[in-house]
Amino acid sequence: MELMGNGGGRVNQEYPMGKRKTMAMEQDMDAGMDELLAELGYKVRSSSMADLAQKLELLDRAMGNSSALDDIFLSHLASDSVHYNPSDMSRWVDNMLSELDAPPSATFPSPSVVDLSPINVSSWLGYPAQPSLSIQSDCGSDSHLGLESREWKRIRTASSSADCSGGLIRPSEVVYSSAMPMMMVESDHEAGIRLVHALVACAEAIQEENYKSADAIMKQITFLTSSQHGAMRKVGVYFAEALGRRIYSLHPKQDHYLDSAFSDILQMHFYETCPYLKFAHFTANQAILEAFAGHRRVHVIDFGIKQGMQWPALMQALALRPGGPPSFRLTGIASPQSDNSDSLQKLGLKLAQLARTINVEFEFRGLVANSLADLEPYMLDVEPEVIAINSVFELHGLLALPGAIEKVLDTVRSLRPRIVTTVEQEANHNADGFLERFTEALHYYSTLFDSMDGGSDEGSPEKLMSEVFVGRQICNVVACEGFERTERHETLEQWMLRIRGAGFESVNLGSNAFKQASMLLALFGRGDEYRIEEKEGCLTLGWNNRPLIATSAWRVAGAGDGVEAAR
Amino acid sequence: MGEEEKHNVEQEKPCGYNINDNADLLAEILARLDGRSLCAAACVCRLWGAVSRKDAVWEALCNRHVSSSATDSSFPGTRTVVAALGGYRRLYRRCVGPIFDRLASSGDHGPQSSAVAAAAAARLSLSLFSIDCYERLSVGGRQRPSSLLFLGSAVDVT
Repeated sequence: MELMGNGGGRVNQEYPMGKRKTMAMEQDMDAGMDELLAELGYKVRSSSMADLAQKLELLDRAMGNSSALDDIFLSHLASDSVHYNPSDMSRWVDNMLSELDAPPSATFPSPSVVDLSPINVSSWLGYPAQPSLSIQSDCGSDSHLGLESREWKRIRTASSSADCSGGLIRPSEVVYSSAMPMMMVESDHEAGIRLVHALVACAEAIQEENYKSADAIMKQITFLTSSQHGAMRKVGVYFAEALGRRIYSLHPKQDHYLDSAFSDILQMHFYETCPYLKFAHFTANQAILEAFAGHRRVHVIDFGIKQGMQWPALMQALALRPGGPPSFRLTGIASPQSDNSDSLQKLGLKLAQLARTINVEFEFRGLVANSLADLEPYMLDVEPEVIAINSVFELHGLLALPGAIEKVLDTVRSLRPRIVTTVEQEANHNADGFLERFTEALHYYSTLFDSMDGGSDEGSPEKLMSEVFVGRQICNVVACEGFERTERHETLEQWMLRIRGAGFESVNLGSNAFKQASMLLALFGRGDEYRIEEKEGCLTLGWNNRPLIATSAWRVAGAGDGVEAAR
Repeated sequence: MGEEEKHNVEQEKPCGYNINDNADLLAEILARLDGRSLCAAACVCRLWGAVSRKDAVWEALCNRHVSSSATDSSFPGTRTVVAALGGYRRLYRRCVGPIFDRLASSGDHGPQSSAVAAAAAARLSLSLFSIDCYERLSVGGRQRPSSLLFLGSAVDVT
């Protein structure tokens, strides 16, 4: 009977990976060892044939899939591994698979992170509306995720049942095994998920002050990042750097002068390559323009003058307004730089030159201040005029100093401005707990990098500089504490509470601002992924359902339109 | 005999009007071209090149794009400002042209379809133009103005 059934069957016996064929064979077998395989020298229990076949498939995939790390893996197998006698095929396969899986099972010492049930992964990484993750845009559906996670779990159990691994591998052993860069070969997408999990696991370890395992996970992160591209890679790189700085307490000696000049340059590049700053300027300018309507003497106080890129457009709009331009004063506040007044003066001259060409009466004053909290009303030298105060990403830094924001808001109110425009990041990166802050930042900056990814200027120096700009923010949020942590972003709601509490009421930004901003965004290809939304009179710019920055406008509560400045 | 007659007829016919005879009229005609055609026209001959470079021609082109009703009231003011910032030709080349191209290709309804949208596009163009002009005022500043780089980069058509 055996011979008869085996005309073709015998050939298949040598390659027991065909599940269907082995299943068919199983019907003919007794319980116990498979006789046919035994003839070839393999001891395989008939009841476990299907399982074995699956494992062999996995092994085949792992070994056969092209990866740059193939050579390393194979050479390792050739030299270092101890293999079980392949005649006991189940054990042999288990052994091989566990070789491959030792690294991943050990890098998640806390079981909480290991849970890869489909619900957790997708809900954790994605925002509700999107089936795709905010990090990688080319992933499969949820069911696909589920399948992968089950497979992963199965492999893990195989490794834990294998004799050689003997339970959870301690971090010290991981150092060795992660030097051997082997992993179940997986798609980029899965590697992306792993990277994210590794980042969170590292943050958890840091939160628990378990720096040894944090260090071990760092190596894993570095490896995982190297296989990624695009936005995911950038997320990996910058967050890894930030985590590294935190673990090793690497705080480069801060040369504040050089730092702020450098940061200005970086912000300039960020201005060029992404729409966020332009959005901020255009919406704030529209609010200021509307507030200045009909007044002949106007004064703008800019809390962070930087390169003054916001003001040419306002000056031009003032020049062209019906009734002619007002007399325009601009007070720009800058942080101290080594060549102090020189750059500020040059800036003023440039703005004055522009104003002259378009025939706008203009006066510039530059103020250098270490912190906005140092400002006193008398320094701003207000005359009878209509005042607008503008702050783009300048307020959150004040939260690092207790009492600073209150003082600044007080100063602002005492100046009786007609309008106050603020632009801030729409995120809560100021939670007390490190882990909470970390995961928030991971979400936010992943979305940000996603939006910056894939333009035609990829890899250009400007793009690179804008990424470094973002990277520095990430470093600050993750690696710094106390006074040094200045990137204390808070959500629009938090700011609204705070500003309202200081005696201001909100001013609606209006449809003109909305339209202009929408048109501006349409010019940046990929316009349909950028989203401008209105929220309680404020405008937010976001990417794929995640708002990233918010512009809001305020005036002193109770002032109303009765306040008449000198005409 | 026939030839003579023909020759006489030609001589007596009022002189065939040549488009190059009157520069202002030529300007009026060229002002009705679109941007690309205008640039092509500028390459025809020296006269056409000179006429095409007149800012008035580009001004007409820009205004046609805008079909502005919104800026009518400050028309003379706009001209002064634009001239001061660098002229209509530069305005078109740097801002209006790319903006309208981009909006037409990406939007379902281009700005031409709505006067309000066109006016908004015009305001936006002017704002961006003023930023560009500001960057060019290098008082020991940047080498090349780059605030309009995003307009120059190819539209992502994924």
